[in-house]
Amino acid sequence: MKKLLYLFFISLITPMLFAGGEEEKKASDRTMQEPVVLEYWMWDPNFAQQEQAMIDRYEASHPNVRIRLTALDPKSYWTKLATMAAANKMPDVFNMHPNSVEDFVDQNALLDLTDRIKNEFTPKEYFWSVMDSSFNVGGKYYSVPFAWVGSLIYYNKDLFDKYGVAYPSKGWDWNEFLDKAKALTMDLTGDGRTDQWGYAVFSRYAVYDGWILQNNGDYLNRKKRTWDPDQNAKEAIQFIYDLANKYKVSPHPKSYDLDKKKIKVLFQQETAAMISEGSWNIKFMREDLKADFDWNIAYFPRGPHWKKDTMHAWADGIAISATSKNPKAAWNFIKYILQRPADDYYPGKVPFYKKEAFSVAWDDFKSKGLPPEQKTIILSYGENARHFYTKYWKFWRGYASAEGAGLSEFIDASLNGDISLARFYKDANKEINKILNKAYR
Amino acid sequence: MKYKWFVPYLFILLAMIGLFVFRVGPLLFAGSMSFTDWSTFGSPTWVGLENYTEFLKDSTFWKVVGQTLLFSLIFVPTIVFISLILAVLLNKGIRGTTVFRAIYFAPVITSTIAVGIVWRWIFGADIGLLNYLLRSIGIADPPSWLSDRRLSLMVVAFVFAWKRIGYYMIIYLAGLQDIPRTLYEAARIDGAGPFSLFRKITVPLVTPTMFFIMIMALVDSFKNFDIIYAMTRGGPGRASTTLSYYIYLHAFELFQMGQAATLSMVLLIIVGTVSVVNFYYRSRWVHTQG
Repeated sequence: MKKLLYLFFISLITPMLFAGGEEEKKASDRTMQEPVVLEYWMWDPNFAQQEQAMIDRYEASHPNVRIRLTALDPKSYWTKLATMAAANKMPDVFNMHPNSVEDFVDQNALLDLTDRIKNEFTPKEYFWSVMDSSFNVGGKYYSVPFAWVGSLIYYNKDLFDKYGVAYPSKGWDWNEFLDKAKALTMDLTGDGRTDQWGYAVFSRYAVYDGWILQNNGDYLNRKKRTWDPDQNAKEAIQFIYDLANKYKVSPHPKSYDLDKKKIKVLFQQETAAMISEGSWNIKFMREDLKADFDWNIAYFPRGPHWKKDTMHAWADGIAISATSKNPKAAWNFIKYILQRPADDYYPGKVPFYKKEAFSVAWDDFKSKGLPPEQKTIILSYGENARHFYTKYWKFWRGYASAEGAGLSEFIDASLNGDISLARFYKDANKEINKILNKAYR
Repeated sequence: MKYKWFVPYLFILLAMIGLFVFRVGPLLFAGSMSFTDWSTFGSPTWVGLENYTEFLKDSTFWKVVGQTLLFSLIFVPTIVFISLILAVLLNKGIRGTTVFRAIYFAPVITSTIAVGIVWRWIFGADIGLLNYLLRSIGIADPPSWLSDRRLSLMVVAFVFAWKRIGYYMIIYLAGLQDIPRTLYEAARIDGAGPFSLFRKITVPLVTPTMFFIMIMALVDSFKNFDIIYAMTRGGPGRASTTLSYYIYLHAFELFQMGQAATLSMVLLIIVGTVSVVNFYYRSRWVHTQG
């Protein structure tokens, strides 16, 4: 009887084992035949063509990998990414920004890249300070930059020439800036109203925050995670306030409904001789709002407490989903993206990989004669990059659909002369710390 | 012929499925979400009334609620009275009525974003058409309509009313055409003038339509997200942020779905309360033809 039972079990198990082996073999065959498919999401549809060309090159050299590109508008990118996260269907590889990385890390949505980065990257080859300031969360890296951007002063060389004003010197300071702004502010029609402004400023982060850093200031208490501007930051805030309300070399933002588009229009129409904005606007100045005059870029001027050039700069990064089934293939693809040629980059965005950043191709003034002449000054800022991103940054700083709210509200109100600086600090402290408390409770 | 008991229910089954799947279901889901801390990325955590108590203590929330009500206070009376006047004028049968109807209705079918962009340009501080006209008549320093925190909400409410007036005008026209001509003829024989006809016949007999429009416009006034997004993004500061925009910010900028659901419930309570109050007082001012 025992023998019979034994035979019965053997006969039952044997086909199962063979069947299992067969399945394994089939799976292994599939692996041999079927390529690894990586879902890759990016936030810039304008750049989708170049991205696809890069993917085609990658697939040609890696026949066992297929990349499926999804290029989303920045406005819908984060919403869709969050929705996919909720459904546990994150793409394998996707663009990441320092203003969102903490939120994703909180939810364990990102793969920890620390070991990979430390083992395979050397700080000399890359703009390490950009990565450290942008993607180091609690001592770990959850994303790697492929490029970075920062804030700059744009100036109209023709207007400077016309009124005999010398171009900004290499280490210019607030006094020099103010002298030039005063010399370029004028009433052209003689009606008692200013028609041409030396400078235009409003609350936008890319326009405003560089001033704080070039005075060695900070308006965040990074340990306590509160909004608490130090004396140097307050000095910068006072200086910018005076530009609009005391020296009157910058218009009240409300007089021109200043926003991220309008400030470029003012520059392009020669209503403002100088503006500050992000380096990615080099593309817009060249193509979209083509400035029909000679223009150049400069550092933010140094304040009285300047110690070293500190650029308001941050990374455009790439991350891997914590749930990716192909993290190895995803990492290899990321490394390929990082090494792409300088020609592939959006004008004004600096490759994270220094070899490409310092190439002649990236200096397209030298290689193609495209303005600005001093584009390479941006590179030095990559060694000392800082920013003010935190959780809920969009809300407390005032960005995207909340632009004009948070800190932006109080900055604009003070620049418009609607509130005093004392009221500015009181209101900003109350509102911003309420949001930050909520973010980090 | 006798039907089985369930046959009538079969006729309404599809409608009921639609109602539950697309209305009641999401409403109940949002209601339960409002008691959670849910950031989209993770699973919702039950927090009881915490979201509600936090908002009740938050001065920004109360500011937004106040602005929501102010928006309605501007929008609803503008709709109720201006669209009535337009409907009465078009109901006179003057020449070109069809053309005017089409003109007044055109903004209703125009994209809100397009409307917002055009009006943004009209209200622009420096190159806006309105300020250009004001400067040309000697007003040297006209207002910054959209960048002035005292004006922006009113401007957006006005534009939204402008966009929606045509729709309500058509409803009024239908209501006006229901008023028997004989009443006007009898009143004219008795010596009533145009204003008396309007005040003593048109207005009382159009009150059922007016009530309907008031409720509809009230609900409409809370659905102002797109016009705010197109014109001011809730600014300057939060000066033109209303509850619907605030819900969007919490849901799709902060990804705080639990808090967004809480705000949605607050909006539901406000709309519901105002509508109930309206229904309660309906009999005092709505006249029906008996």
